[in-house]
Amino acid sequence: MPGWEGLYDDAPCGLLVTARDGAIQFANLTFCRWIGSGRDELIGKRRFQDLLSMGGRIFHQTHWAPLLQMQGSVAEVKLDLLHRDGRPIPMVMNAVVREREGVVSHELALFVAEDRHTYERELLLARKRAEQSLATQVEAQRALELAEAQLRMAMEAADLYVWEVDAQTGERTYEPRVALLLGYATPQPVDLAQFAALVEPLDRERALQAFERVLLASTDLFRATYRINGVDGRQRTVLATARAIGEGDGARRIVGLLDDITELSGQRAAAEDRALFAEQMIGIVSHDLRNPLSTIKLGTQLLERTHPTPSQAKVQGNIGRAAARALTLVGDLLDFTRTRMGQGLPVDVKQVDLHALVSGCVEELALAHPACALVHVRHGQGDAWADADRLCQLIGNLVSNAVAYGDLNAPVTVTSRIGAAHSSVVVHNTGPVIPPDLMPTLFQPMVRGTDVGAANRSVGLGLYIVSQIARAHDGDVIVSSAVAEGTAFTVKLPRIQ
Amino acid sequence: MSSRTARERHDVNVAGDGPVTMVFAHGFGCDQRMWRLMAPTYAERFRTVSYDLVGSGRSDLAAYDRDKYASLQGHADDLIDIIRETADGPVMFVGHSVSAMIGLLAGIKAPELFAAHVMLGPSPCYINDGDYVGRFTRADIDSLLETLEGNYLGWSSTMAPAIMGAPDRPELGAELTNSFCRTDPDIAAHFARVTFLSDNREDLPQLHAPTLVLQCSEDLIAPLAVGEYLGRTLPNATVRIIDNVGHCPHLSAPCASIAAIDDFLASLEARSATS
Repeated sequence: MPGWEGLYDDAPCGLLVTARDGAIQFANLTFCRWIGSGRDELIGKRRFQDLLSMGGRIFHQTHWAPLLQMQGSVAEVKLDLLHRDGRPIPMVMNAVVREREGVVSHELALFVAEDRHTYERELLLARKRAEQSLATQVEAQRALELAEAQLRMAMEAADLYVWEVDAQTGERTYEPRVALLLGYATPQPVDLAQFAALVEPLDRERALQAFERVLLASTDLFRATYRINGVDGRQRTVLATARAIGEGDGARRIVGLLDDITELSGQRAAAEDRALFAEQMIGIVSHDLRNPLSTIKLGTQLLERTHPTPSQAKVQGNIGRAAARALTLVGDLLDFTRTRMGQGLPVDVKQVDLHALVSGCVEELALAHPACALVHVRHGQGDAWADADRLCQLIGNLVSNAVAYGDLNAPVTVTSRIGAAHSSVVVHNTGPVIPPDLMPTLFQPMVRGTDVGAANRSVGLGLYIVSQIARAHDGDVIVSSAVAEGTAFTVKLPRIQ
Repeated sequence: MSSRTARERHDVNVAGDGPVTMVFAHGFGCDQRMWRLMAPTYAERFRTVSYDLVGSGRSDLAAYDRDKYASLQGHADDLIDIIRETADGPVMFVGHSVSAMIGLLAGIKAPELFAAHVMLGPSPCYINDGDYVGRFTRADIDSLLETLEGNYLGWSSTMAPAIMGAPDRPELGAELTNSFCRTDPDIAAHFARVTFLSDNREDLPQLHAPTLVLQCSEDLIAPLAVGEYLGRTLPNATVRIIDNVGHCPHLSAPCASIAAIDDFLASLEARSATS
């Protein structure tokens, strides 16, 4: 029939006949065009498997060649044929084994399958992406589970319980563990009515108002403390907090925590009690003790005018000095308490004539320490910024210290110095060196030298208060102590306010 | 690991009867049905056992543990289990392609289980290495792995393979054509990697059992040079070359294959008779 040959040669697919070993016996023009080879280059010269990539040839040998032998046909096998120029052309192949007059041959039809190839690649990529995202998701899921377990543990350890509010309906839901807060022995479902009924009636109104505020969104954070009268007869104090979580579509969810603060509030009440007691003690010290001491001091001064006998005068003098020391001690205690309560020392910093101020202090101190020579040395000119009373207190403490620990045969020198940026006060004495192991804690309260006579013993607040006064002036205090140079405390105060 | 027996995991099929058991192991790519033109012949004289490697054919795919099967030793251990479960005395082992090397490893580990080895188209190493000609380069193997991946649809177990129909081969049942040479694509890619990157050259001198190396005259996967190398290196080997183009003489040249094996078996008998 005419045209059959043309149909074979120009068929819309590649057609091949090979021997059993793959030797090409016939090839149509379509196939030759696709792979860029002339028919004469193929027939009798090439085997079909020679046209495959190496991977394709192994695939051919291990898979579809046996398949073809077993089944007598294969269909839709995909393989890459190599164009004459070396580029792979993905093709899909159908093949049948045909036996004619005892001779076995293979008949092959091939279709270029670029689209399927692309599709397959995409499919493979999509699958890999899906697997990757699945792996990521699984990992995220695991991390989430871990985080949840950790959160759960933390919440249990911290006695925290979750509740939630539907912002639309105002309906509140509680996690089953909330039952523990209500005095039940085991977690169990808890509804609002059950919960509300156990809230202490005195606290109910206040809690409700706070809750309505967060519901009306006038505030984002709900916070209320109320008591719950548990079914087990115990009263628990609960701090309820909640926060509105805005969601993308504008819907609001409110998620909250219930914090069992029974123990905490008990502790806080006790701490408040203790603080109050300390404040009361300060009151007692400052008023009730100060006033009688002042009276005693004033009394001795009045008695001096009554021409006492020498022995009376001696007693009066002792009483006066004792009262003055007691007043200083009380003042130190008061200051210490203030700094310990975190209030800091109040200072009233003003422009002062430093030399005149120090000179006055030294004169007063000379009277209080008659056994010791006090010398005042001035350097520079100008004003300083200081709280005059506090500075005198500071110098007094340092001089007391020098008298207590220094060599009384040599004078104690107080130097006031006006510098460019700083003014300073230095109190210097000779005598024993401060033990090095005492240096790091010298300015801490309740630290003092050991070999001190009973007359000069203090509670060890002197240097602590010196450092606190320096700090209140934004200044500092440093100490140097050596056999040759003696001991010097230098207080530096900034000159600029 | 699956708690099922080796018989179940590997879809072990036992046929025939005889004083000696002959075990058939298929190569990379297909499954035990590759033996259908050969095994029945031997079932007349032997007890025959054929099975699927885990990951192939109708084996238990869930048992494909990538760590265990990261080397051929995993498959060799399976073979030892199968022989212990199915055979009484030492077996005649017939392994095609990669299974010849699986038999090698099993025979070294448990020599008492093997009377003799028949290796069809074996290769101890597919990649060229210095003077050694394995036929392939690393790039060729990568190209194979790419081809396997690229043929994802063709491999996918969810896509039933289309069969042209074989009117002149009525003996092929639909059951056969639908699963032959088909497995999980990921397992196929993994097994391909393990197979074609394996190197068992150093193990060869340790196999002392009589071995027949059955070599095809023209085999892309196992060229003549590899057969010669095996003959030189295996301590007790006979190399037979049969006239066949391709890697599956048990399919394309079953009669020549059977004749060569029969000669080998006869020589074994003669040897045991004289000793």
